[in-house]
Amino acid sequence: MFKLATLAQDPVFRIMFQHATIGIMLADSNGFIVKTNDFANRLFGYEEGELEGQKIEVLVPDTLKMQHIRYREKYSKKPKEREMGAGLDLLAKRKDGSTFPVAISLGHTKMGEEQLVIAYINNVTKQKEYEERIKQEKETAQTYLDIAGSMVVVLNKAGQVQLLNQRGEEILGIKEEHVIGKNWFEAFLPKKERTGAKAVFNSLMSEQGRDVEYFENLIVDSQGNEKLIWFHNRVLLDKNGVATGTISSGVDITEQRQAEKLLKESQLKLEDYAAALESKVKERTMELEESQSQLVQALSKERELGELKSRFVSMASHEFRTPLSMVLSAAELIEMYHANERYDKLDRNVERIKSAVRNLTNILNDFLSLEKLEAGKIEVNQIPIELSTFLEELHEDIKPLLKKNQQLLLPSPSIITIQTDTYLLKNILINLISNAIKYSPDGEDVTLSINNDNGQTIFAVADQGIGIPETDKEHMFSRFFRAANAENIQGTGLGLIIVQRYVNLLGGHIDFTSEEGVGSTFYVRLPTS
Amino acid sequence: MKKILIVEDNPAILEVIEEMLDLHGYDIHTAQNGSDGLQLAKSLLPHLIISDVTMPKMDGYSMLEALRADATTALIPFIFLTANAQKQDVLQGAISGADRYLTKPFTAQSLLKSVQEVLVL
Repeated sequence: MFKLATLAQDPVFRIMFQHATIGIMLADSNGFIVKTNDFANRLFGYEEGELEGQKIEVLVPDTLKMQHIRYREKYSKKPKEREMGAGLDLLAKRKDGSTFPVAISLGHTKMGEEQLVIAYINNVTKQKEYEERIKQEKETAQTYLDIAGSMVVVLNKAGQVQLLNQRGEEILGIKEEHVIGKNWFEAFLPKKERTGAKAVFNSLMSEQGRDVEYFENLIVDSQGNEKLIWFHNRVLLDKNGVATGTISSGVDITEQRQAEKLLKESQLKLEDYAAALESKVKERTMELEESQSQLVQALSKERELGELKSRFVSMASHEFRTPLSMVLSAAELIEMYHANERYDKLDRNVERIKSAVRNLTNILNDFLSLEKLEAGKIEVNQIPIELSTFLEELHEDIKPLLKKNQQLLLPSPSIITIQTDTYLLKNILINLISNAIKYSPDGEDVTLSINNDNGQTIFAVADQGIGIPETDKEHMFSRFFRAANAENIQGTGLGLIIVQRYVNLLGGHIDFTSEEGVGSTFYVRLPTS
Repeated sequence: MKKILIVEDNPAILEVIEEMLDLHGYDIHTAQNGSDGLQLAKSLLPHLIISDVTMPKMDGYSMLEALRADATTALIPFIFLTANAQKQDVLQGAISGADRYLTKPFTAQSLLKSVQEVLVL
């Protein structure tokens, strides 16, 4: 084994050797360690001089020893300079058997006949750890990219694709390696979208456009399908703040948009439907209300008829019974007087029977008149009549109806003739005058006056009778209605209605003024010229 | 001779009732409304009163009530003779306290029978 004799004597060399911050080791051609410096001793955990004379393989892990020996022998035959870290991952062994990564550079020299190898050794544990961490982080970053739900595209300044993640591959239907370097806009955007998207890209590159962070555009996949992508863009800057490209994450919102569109459409449809429904409901409600009001009307008509019927029955029952009673009683009296041979009493009772029958006939006539009127069977025949003659006849008809000490005061009319229906006018006046007589006490006169007003004739029948109570006035022209203060006075409750109908037939108008206990005046206004 | 008071607002009806009962030997007095009838009944104290229901001034029911409320007239037999012949009228008459409720038209026989019956009571 080669012995290093004098080298260590030079003090400068000693300092350089012993204080180097790198392990230095000399070995001979047979692999025996000749000399180690302090750093190397500390690196491998040996005392000074302890390694000298040992085979270099004592510093190699057992599993690598044979390989190292072969390598060393090959090197000895053809030694060459070898720089540190030239692609070799080397592992060294400490005295305690633990291992650590090292970087080694080799040099060789001859000393006399002896071929010496010098090794410079660095512990690279830290670098290895750092490299490992970097590698892991890179892998993590790749994983992030790959599992991202969005597509990620990195473009360089020229718009060429630098990176496309897994989701991007899926969306475009193409592998990353086939995409790298292609112009994004030419390769993946439909023509109509290119100009707009390029403008966005250029503005991003020009620093002014940092506000177009979000952008939405169509892309075309490898199958030629258009997809709507919502991009989130960020400019990539170098250390000087110059834009070098963009990174964009994009979400395929094609289906979302369609769903939104469908939703919007169905929402609109729903609104239309709701509006239609509402209007339908309104329509139905109106129909319902209408039919309800018709029903209510029909009901009230029905009720009115029912009331009318009961009023008629009540009136008929009472009004027919009195004259019928008179007929029966007078007939029985005739029998009695006949049996008693009181013949002087017979005429009186016959007259009673006649009068009662007349009374009944009047009631019947009232009914029949009303029935005829309502059936529209009464014809109007208007002719010129001489008023003085008409009034004389009327007076004759009225005379038998007058009470004791009662007179009908008639005017001597200024009008000579009028044009009207004699029958109807006579009926109207007899009805009103007989009412006036009926509702007046003995001795109170009834007055008929006639006036001309603008081609119309006004007949007024006035009495000083019982009058009409205020609350009953509005019902005076209702069928079978009797004023509260007239209940004890015979009547059908039809007379005034008949009069009103007759007046209407003649195109006229009837009205009255009255005060209870003072008297009433009925006015009939007829067109008579 | 039994005194009978007839209260009836229809003078013609009043006359025939009066004649009928006169023929059968009763002493007849008359009034044409409830108020006059009540006064006459108190002064006359008749054996029987025959009255209409519907009359001016005071109707038959009010008159009957006033008669029954006065000890001197409370026990005078009372017959209603009226054209109010509907079911509810007859029912009202039945519970009024009158001895008979006769409706028009009436036969002389039914009236005389009722008169004789209530006079016996």
